[in-house]
Amino acid sequence: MSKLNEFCRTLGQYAEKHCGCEYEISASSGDSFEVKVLEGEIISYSVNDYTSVSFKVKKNGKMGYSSTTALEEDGIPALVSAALENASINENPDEQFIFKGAESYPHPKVYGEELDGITAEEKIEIAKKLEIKAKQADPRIKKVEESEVVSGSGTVVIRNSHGLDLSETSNFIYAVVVPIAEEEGNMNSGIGICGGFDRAAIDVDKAVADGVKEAVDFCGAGSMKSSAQRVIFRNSAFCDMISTFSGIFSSENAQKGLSLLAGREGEKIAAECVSFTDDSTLDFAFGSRSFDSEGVPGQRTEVVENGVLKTLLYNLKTANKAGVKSTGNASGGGVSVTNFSLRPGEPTLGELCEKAGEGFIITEVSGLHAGANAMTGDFSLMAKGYRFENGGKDKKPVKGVTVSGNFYELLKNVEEVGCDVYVNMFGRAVSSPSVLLSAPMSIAGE
Amino acid sequence: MIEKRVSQAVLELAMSTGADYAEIYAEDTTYDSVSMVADCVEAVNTSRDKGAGVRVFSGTNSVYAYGNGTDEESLMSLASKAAAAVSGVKGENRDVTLAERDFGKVCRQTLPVSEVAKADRVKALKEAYFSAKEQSPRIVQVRGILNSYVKHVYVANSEGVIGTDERPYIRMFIVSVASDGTENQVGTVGPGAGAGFEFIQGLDLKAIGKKASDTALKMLDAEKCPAGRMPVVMAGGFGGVIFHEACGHSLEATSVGLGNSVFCGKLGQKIAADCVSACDDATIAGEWGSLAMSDEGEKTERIVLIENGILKNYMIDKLGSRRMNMRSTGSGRRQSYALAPTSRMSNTFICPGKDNIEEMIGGVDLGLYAASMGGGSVNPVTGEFNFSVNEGYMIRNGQIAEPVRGATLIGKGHEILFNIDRVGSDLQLGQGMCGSVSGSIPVNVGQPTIRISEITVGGEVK
Repeated sequence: MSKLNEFCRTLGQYAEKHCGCEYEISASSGDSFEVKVLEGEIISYSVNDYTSVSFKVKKNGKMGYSSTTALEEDGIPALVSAALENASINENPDEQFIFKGAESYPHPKVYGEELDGITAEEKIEIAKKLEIKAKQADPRIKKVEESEVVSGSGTVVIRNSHGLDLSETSNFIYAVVVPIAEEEGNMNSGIGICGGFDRAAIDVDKAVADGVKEAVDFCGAGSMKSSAQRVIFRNSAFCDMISTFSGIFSSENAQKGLSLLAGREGEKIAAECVSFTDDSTLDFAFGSRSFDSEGVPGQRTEVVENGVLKTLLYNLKTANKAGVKSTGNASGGGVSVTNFSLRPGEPTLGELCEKAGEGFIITEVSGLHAGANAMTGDFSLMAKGYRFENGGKDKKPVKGVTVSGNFYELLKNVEEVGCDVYVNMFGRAVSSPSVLLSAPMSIAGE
Repeated sequence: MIEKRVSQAVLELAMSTGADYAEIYAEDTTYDSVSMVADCVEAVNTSRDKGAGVRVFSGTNSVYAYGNGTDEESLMSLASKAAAAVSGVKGENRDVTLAERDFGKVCRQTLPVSEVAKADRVKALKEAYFSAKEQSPRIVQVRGILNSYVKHVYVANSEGVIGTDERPYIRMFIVSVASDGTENQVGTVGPGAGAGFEFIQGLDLKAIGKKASDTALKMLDAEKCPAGRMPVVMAGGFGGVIFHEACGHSLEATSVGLGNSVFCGKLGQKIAADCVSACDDATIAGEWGSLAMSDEGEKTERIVLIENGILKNYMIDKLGSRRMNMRSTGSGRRQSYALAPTSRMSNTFICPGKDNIEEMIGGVDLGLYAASMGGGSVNPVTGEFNFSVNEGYMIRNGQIAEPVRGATLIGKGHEILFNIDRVGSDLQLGQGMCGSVSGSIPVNVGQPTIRISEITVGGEVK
């Protein structure tokens, strides 16, 4: 960290002398640890440190960017001149800002002190335990493809020509287990994940139970005949959907004509039971932070309330353009959600099934990076789940089907939101309960 | 990049606790990007990524440590971290003697991007961008990106090899959005190469913009694709993503070496229809997925994976080679020093056959013609894959008929290979980014026009 501090100080001094304009330095540094176990042996072990510095100038109203991971003082002139040159060919007509700072900042808890005390040996033991317990859980688990523990910590720093000087340090740990079930020549893998900011968050038994259940349940599963079905998205699957389509709430996309929510603030865009909140101030949540990538304080924002779009998510540039205040959602030059959650309702997953009578519970969707179009809302995805009848009393696992539809339509068709909140641990920090949809969806199989 | 004396000392320290192999990987990469949206240059970025990693093996156990410093002190610190994690007996002192090895060049840049004024790069991007925009008033938005980077790679390993590779990459993206006010549809074109700016100069930029908009406009007018099992004819080029997903990933040592692939133990056996042969070839000059030296300091090669339906080889890296007790095929790749390498694809394609395309389509009463494919994914354990069709048409009575959108193809790789019943002669390659345990890397997928006799098509259930 001291080397990074020193580099940033030298860069700041050079920028003061040579830029003749507003500038901003943002830096990050940290370390990470990863261990993977297979058949009781450590097959992969990785210990790392990283540093990176981004530099931004606002020259004649235009932004220019450059960055480096090489903390070499003789690279500073090139870093600065690249940013200045890049600003000179930028044509973006929108007014841009280097933030002057806010009076106060929230301080969500993002550092779990307890994690400092977990040694590498303990993490190896956790990875080994994941594998052993998964194999013991069910005779059909013949193998565990992955038993992994990952941890890390990092500090982000923002300093600019207005005297803004912010920093925040966070850490995390998570563990993943991927058991493979084998029965009568069929193989199927499941995934279990746990993690957070203290020892208690590493719930090995829960992760193993989740992964094993999924691997075993779908082992002999086949496809089914194509049909239109009442659909329940199980919590984790709906998290993936929300995460993939979360960009529709970005003012940046809206202003560029890349979201169909442009200009629809105040309008009903979803069913009555749908409310979305973005909140970067939650303690011990993966998306929390004191300030965003422009140095604007984090906040809680009601995005959709009872189906009505209250606001989009903004950074300084898009907020200025729309005549509103930044919601503190700047992220790497654009706009992104922090902790984005669908407000839970009352019913359990079982009660949602009862209400539907018969239909299809989607427990997993895959191929989101290709089969879901965040711009149009259209998706056509490979899915796994349970075909159910008699209010959920009879359930049959099904895989190798696809589900297709449109996310904007989906939001309007939510009939009921469950109470079983799932928090995503990879990618965006999205949380969601299971949801029951009113209109049937296309499930394509044989 | 690193003095020989330093590399020797680092490798010796890394092996001092009993490791039987050590390797240094260092890189210095400069990226440039220009992006346009809303008819103007929106952002211009220059970034440099420099760092190094030290990896050691003890049998089939692997330890990796990386950081951003490439000076002697930083490298020695990485070596001692790696050595500390090896739980072997204290080894005797290992002497490493290094010698430079020349890997030749597979990708060259005759006009380095750094020598082209940024204004001229912008001019090229604008030519394609505005061609896309001007196709129709229904093209409401276009995104244009010109990305280029040059990666300087250095590898030294305890087998005595020091190797370097300079890898230039350049790619242009045009994404057109067509809208009728209530619905949006997208068309994307993204040509790329292992080359310098001369690649962009050789492109028909106006045609690229037009192609992206044509797809978006056609799909805006298209009906939803009907779901069901049907024959599918897939056009050449990026259609090869089917082989990449359905089969390629399951032939990587990453899954085969750990017993996690449906193709384990199938060498010499029939795994595909007779008309199917396939290769992974990193040695094609100037291609997006090409490289002269692997990221483990080995010469890359053309690997025959399948010949007339028979499985001939896998794609194998050094660690995979130890696990499988087979020769490494020089397939070790990684996104950057921040990830340990593993077996990856380069330019992977179905080899050209002899079938006639008109006959292929003519023989289908009701099916799908996939003119342009999107991406996909696969579970190598089960072979289950999925991928999306960006531009599709129904085939009716042997003729290409109306456009359809929202189609997805799903199936199991080892099954689909037997269902390929026609292979044309029009081999083309298409560019993509492939994600796996060692990160996101540039790869080509490829194939001639092929026909699959039956596959599950996801779409609308009528």
